[in-house]
Amino acid sequence: MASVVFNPGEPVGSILESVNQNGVDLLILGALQRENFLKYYIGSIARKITRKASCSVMLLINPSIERLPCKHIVVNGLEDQKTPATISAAFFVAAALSSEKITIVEEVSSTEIGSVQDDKSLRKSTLLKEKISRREDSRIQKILEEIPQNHKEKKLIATQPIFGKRGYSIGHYAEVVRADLLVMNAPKASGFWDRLFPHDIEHILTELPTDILIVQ
Amino acid sequence: MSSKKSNIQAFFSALPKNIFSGFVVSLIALPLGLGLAMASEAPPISGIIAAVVGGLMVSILGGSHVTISGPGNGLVGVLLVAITTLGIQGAYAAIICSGALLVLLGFLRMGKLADFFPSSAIQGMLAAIGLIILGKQFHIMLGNKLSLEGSISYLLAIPETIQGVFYYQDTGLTFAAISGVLSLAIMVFYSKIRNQYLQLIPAPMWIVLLSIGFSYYYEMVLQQPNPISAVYMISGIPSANQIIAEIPVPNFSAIGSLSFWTSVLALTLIASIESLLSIKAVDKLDPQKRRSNVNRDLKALGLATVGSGFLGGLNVVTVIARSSVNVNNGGSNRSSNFMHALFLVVFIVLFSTQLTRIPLPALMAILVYTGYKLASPTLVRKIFSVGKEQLLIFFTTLLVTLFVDLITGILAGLIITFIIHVLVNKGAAVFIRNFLKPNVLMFQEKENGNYYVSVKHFCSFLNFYKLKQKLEDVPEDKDVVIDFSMCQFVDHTVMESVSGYQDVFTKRGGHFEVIGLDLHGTDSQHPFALRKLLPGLTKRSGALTKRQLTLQEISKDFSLQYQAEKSEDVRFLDGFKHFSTKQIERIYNRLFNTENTFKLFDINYSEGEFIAKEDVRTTMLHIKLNSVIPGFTLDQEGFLEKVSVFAGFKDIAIEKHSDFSKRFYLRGEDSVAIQRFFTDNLVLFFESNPYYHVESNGTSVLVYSKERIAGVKEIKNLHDFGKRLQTELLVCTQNLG
Repeated sequence: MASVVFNPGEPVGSILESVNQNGVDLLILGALQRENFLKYYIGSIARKITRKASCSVMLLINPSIERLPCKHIVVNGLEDQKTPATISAAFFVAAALSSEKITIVEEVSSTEIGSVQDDKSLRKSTLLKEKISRREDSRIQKILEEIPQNHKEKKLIATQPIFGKRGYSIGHYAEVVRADLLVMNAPKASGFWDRLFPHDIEHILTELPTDILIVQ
Repeated sequence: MSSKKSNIQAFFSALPKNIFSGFVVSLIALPLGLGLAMASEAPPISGIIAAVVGGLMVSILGGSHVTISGPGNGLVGVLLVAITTLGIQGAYAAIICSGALLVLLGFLRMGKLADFFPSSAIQGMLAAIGLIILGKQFHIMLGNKLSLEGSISYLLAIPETIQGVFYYQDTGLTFAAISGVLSLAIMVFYSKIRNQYLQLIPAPMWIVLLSIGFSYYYEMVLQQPNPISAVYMISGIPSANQIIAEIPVPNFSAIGSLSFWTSVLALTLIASIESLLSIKAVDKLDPQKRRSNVNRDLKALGLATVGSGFLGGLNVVTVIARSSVNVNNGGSNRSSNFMHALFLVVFIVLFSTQLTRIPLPALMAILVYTGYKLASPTLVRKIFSVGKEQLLIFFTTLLVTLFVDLITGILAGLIITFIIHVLVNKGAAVFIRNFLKPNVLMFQEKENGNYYVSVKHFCSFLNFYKLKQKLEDVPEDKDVVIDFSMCQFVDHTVMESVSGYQDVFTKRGGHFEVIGLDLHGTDSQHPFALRKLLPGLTKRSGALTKRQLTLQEISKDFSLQYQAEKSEDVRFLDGFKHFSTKQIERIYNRLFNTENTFKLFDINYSEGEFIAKEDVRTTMLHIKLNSVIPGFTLDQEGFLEKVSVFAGFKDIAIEKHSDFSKRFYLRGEDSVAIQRFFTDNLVLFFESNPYYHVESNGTSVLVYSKERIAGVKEIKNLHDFGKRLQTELLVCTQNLG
């Protein structure tokens, strides 16, 4: 059932209001890939809504009348309670759009490894990285077992641990591998200061690497 | 437990070699220490104190392996200002404070500090320091002590001094000038003469020895006073007892003044930059390919500086020339730094009175040469080849440093670099927008374990540390691909550092590839001739020389192919001990067979760094083998080798061939395999043929005779020897198999 709701008023507020009123599950918005300098700090409509919305949001940076195939989906595998739901949502979308490949990116903050100073600390950190990679992989494998089999069929499933800044690396990675959709956990509420000192999802909102789905 | 034990064993087995190289280094450190201190107008002994305290403390506490610490030439300019404004005791206080700041930098992990300065600005600053040293000491070298205002006026007075030399009334001054010029000639021509006996003693020590000998000749043989004017002799070298009795008290009374803290800041800045750059350069020379812990080194250098300041010594920094001499003489761990300090103590205790026999001009000639090397025209040409804008940065920094001071100079360099970057990009938006954002992604590809690094936005001296941080996390024997295709702008500083990483990775068995810059090259709006910096892409052009034409001719006789152009591929030389401490610059004039298993080529490489740098050009033969043989080095037994035996190398004896063992010097790790490999026939072959240096890296052998380019006839001989060696080795490997 489709319906058109018309609400006058200031865009951010009225859209958020109608989301609450109508019990919307998924909000689809068009957005610019990159905003200009001033707008970034004050906040554009799409991003403001994304930050405040209580439902899942999909941001499209290159909407097209002709449907472009969504071949490769990148999804975050952060150690977070929201992650299993996000991953299963990603698989659901992948099944619906018949995507060929899903990559689960496990971002590990570099603070967990410590800094490399010389040969000794390099050896130590290399070993530690291997250990963490294995740990992260087994965690993801457990999540994957819960995914219904029909969602996993005929799909290439890959995992990629990345040691780097959380929230940033995955966006850059999605851009490098030319992913068609990036699926992320919903952020915790963020304010102006988070834009000055960006973290997690703010890095991606600054510069949308691709279409993005934020799962609430 | 067992690994600890073997570590101790390894340390003691390497100790003789380190004592030997520590000794050679102390031979340079002695004249340099005296000279650098006098150039800063500090008591000459303060340079030695800095070297001794630095050597002892940094060798125990430091985090690098083959570096040598002591008074540095970069600090001369700053120390000069500090001593003239604060007085020598106030300067000691400033030195102590800068040492404390260095320790702080170490704890704050500011080892990356040197990365924040554009490389052309650093070059400009160093060149300015070189000119300051050169300008001031040039006059003393020619027996004309001046005291002028500002470093520029010293430089401008140089022609006058040169003219003045021909009108000296006082023969004492003429002799002083002659000793200066002769010493300068020794410094200049020393590296050009490759004679193993001459090279045993470093050039600065030759100057010291010759001038002391000269003084004794007059005293003992001619029984006349030394003809060099007494004013131009080193004075005020206290004996060991005096040094301990007369430790100066640092004067902290100026601690509230601005000039005190500018001095402290400048000392800290230059000391850390000089040390960090040196450590980076020395790490590339380390044959054992270890990584230095720069932050730990900074802490050690800082502590040593504090100690040195309290004992009446100058700042302690890591010094490149002495460190490279250390590596070239077989120094393999920090004990050589320690030994160099101990030898200096021995020299002072035993010979402090002899040192007063050294004429000042002779000592200052060493510094003039150092200054010239820092600001040499080749350096300017090299920077120009990178780009005109680099030259602008270089000269801005240089001139502001000369006319104002060091800190303003380096700041001016930073600002002009940034302005140029803004102009090149037609706007500052890309920098302002992305300055604080992370821009580097690195991950290890699952399929092959390669590291992939992608850089976004821009990469310049402003944010290079972010990229560097990632690259530091990669073991050097791995494969790295670095992708700049998402990067709008890459500056010269980054390109230079990246090329440095390429060197290190290649040397340590890894691979470092840069991709994504092709687009930048075709983009006409990108004026940085970046790819020029990546090694191996400049082409040699022009007509062939006579030698090259002859080589072309004989290549047909030997049915080999000939190529005069520089070759990019020098990787086949990896693994040869001969090149482990050397930098290969180019390979050209190649004669090779179609399978590329037999190659004759000319090669340029360099040994050492800075004033101890020696460029070597030679002709070599490389034979690729089909099978594995033990790694070995075969040399003619000579005087040098006899010395090295004492220093801990071992000659492998071949049974029943005592004559061979006597005449040849055979080294290698697996002595049993080598003994088995050297069959009677092979021994006979080496005994009955002309002598060549032969080295094997396991899969191929390298043959050469002299450290110079071979003539056509010599190439023919080398070819003949090589062909016969190849068949001989084939027989041996068949026996072995």
